[in-house]
Amino acid sequence: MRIALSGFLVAVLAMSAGFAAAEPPLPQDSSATFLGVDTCGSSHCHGSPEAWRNATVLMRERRIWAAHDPHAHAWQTLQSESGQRIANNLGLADAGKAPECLTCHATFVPEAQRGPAFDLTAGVGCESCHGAGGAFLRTHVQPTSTHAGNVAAGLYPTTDAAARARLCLSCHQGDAAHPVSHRLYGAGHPRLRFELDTYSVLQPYHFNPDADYRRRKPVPAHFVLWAAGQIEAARRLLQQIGSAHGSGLFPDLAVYDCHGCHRAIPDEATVRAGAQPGFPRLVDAPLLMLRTVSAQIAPDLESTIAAQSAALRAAVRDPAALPASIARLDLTLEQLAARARQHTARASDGADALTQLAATTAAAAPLSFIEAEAAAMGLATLLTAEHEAGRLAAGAYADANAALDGVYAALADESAYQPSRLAAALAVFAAKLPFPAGATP
Amino acid sequence: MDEIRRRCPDPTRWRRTVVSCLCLLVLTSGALGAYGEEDEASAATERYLGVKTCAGSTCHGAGGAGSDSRVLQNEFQTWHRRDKHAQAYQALLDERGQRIARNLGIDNPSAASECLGCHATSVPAEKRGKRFALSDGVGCESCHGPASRWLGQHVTGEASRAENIAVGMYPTEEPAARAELCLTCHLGTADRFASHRLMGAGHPRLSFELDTFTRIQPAHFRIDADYRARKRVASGMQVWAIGQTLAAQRFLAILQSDKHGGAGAFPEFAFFDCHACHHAFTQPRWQPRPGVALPPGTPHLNDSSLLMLITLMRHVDDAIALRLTDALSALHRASTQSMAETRAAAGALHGVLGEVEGRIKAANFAAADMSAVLRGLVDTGITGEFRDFAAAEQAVMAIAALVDALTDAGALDEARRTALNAHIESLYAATADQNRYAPAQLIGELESLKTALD
Repeated sequence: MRIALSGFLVAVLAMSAGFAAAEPPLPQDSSATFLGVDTCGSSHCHGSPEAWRNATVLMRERRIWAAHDPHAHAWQTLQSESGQRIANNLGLADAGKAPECLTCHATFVPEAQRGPAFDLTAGVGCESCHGAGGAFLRTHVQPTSTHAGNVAAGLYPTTDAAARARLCLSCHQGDAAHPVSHRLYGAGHPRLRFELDTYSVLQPYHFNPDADYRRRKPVPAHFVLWAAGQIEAARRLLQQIGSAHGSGLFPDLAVYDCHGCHRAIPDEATVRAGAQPGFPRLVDAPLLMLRTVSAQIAPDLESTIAAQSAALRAAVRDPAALPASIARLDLTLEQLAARARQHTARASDGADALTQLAATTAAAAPLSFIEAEAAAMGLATLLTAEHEAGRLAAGAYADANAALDGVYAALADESAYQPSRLAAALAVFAAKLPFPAGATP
Repeated sequence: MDEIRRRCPDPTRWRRTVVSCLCLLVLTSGALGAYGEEDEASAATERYLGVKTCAGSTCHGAGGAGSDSRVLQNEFQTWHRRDKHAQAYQALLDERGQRIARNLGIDNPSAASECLGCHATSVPAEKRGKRFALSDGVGCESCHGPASRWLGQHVTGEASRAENIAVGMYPTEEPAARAELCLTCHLGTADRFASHRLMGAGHPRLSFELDTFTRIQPAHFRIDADYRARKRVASGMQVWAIGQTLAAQRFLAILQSDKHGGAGAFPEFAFFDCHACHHAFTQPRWQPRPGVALPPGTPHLNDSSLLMLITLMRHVDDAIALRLTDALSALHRASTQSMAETRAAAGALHGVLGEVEGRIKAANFAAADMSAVLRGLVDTGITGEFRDFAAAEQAVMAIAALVDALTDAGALDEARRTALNAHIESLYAATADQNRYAPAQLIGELESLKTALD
């Protein structure tokens, strides 16, 4: 009976949660003990001064993190002048002790789950991303350990593009457990900005994906990471749009385009085709990026996503239609996410995506600053990946990269951003792309 | 902001500065009805006879006063050459006007009632006389009323002011009547409100202060003994105070009407402080404002006129000032909740403004009152209460109005008047550009003015 019941429950869960049932819990939601950076990063483990010659990993990960990775200063930044000003504006006595800050600025887990070497002030440390050491340390240190075995024990699968997207975006875009609101922005918190592949590279990586590494773990392609990040960002945005509306005279303004309102009052107003003058826009850059993602991995969904995105934008003028509009698009994006998981990486993915992204952003002009920023990060990360994979002639890369500098120059100052200048820079870049439209190497 | 500033006074007292706001006013029969003794028969037959009718070369277009005239007789020339109301219709046709119309999906703004309502003497075709021209913009009868009602007795020179008003000439010299009239366009009514949709299409922000705008229009009359014999002359302070009271009441009335409940997920943005959202994005700038007490990142209603009135009432009646402050705080709190709660709180505040109106209309402000309220404005400004651009702008216009009122009352000697006007120049400079305005600079200028006042 008991077996039958649990079997039934599994079946129900699998049906109701769909693919979500396969998603591992985020590290922060683990019930195991968090052992602290000092446990992982001792000098004879992941805090070695030099890379080990015979290890499958670098063994100096902690040093890279401490020296180069801003996550290491996430808690310290709460104590900075701007951190204190933000906390003060929010009415918080000490940001370093406030759960609403700590949830993203530290490995914030209940006291009872903190091991003897755990230190909140270490910021976003090893276990913030890799999971509670208490769950997998024993398995992990065995000479016979496998990556799959470690993941089964509780190591977070950061090598899986979708899982990494969920993890990073839990803070870099926020969710119910990591709430990001316009109140936080109004208090002075910097605008959140994220692109999974770009930020993964810039973090910087504390691993070297050599042959030895690849034998143990999958290495997702840049296009796959970029696409997974955009899909997750879009789905998360839909949740946020849903919860932002409904209570209060205003919706939570954090789901609206920052620069639509935050700009000087111009002498001349330009109104985008189809837009209502004086009405805010959703901050929906991922939906524009999904035009390219869907064209690459699920062309049959492309027009549906475009139409449902347009319907969502219109629905904020008619809040009664909003929940249904969100639900419809999310259902389509769930299919897109499944297709992304099934997608077999092709050598032409990057080039196709670059061509497609240049074309869709040109067609969508004038771009909001945040759309332009998302496009620029995508183009840069995809172009660099093509270059690193040796798929571009040196001269072609140099030309395209110089044109990309022009795109970034048009985005240098968000207060002085001019869509027409950006569009011109994007056109120059598109002309320098070494792939003819509609054909790939 | 520079376009609505007063400048250093010239010897003739009236300001040479011109208003270049695009959005000028027209009289509605509704506003007129409140003051004229309307009867249905004369309303049905009334005609607007057009600027040409008034501007004859022996009448108000004479270019100078005849020997026996009680008025300047160059009113038409002053209006035509220096008053922006004369270009209100043309503004619809210039490049900016055309662009705004395009953004709104309007093919021809000079034929659109949405635009003409304030950019011309917009009256039904059957009320237009033979010489009436819509293209005259905001002309004589926009403010003075339909001439067919009173022209006959008016040209004889025999009728008294009261008799002219009795048949339909508008009592523009009465501050409350003038405020009602000007605010019809310069703030709007429930039926004709410059919404955020209009602003988003490129229409300039509306900003108004009755005494300042009367002076810089410029006035086409001269207040002399003869004028005083015919018409009541209110002090600049009373004109300012009544203008603020009626502006606040009008704002709350429109807020309470069910015609401006917002669009989609948002309330009507035009009720809110423009610059709370419209500021460059890079510099951290939020600071708590004492009277608002809303969390960061929360748009708040434009309460600039109410802040002026609270400062005024602290001098006139502290108990009313406290009730105003409490009711305004309640309105700000309600404005985070729902439109229903916002309207209820606006209604309560509207009630307190009734008390304010009674006190101000009954007041006979003397130089001591002007001086005390001037100091009150400066002291309150120094606390940061006027940090919003709209409030800073109102405070600067109020300070200038009070200094002018003190000058009119003979309470300032030449040296002091010159010194204070230099400070007013600096205050105008600190609020010259809405996009570059820095509250700290305004506070610095107010501190400097405070030293000069002490």
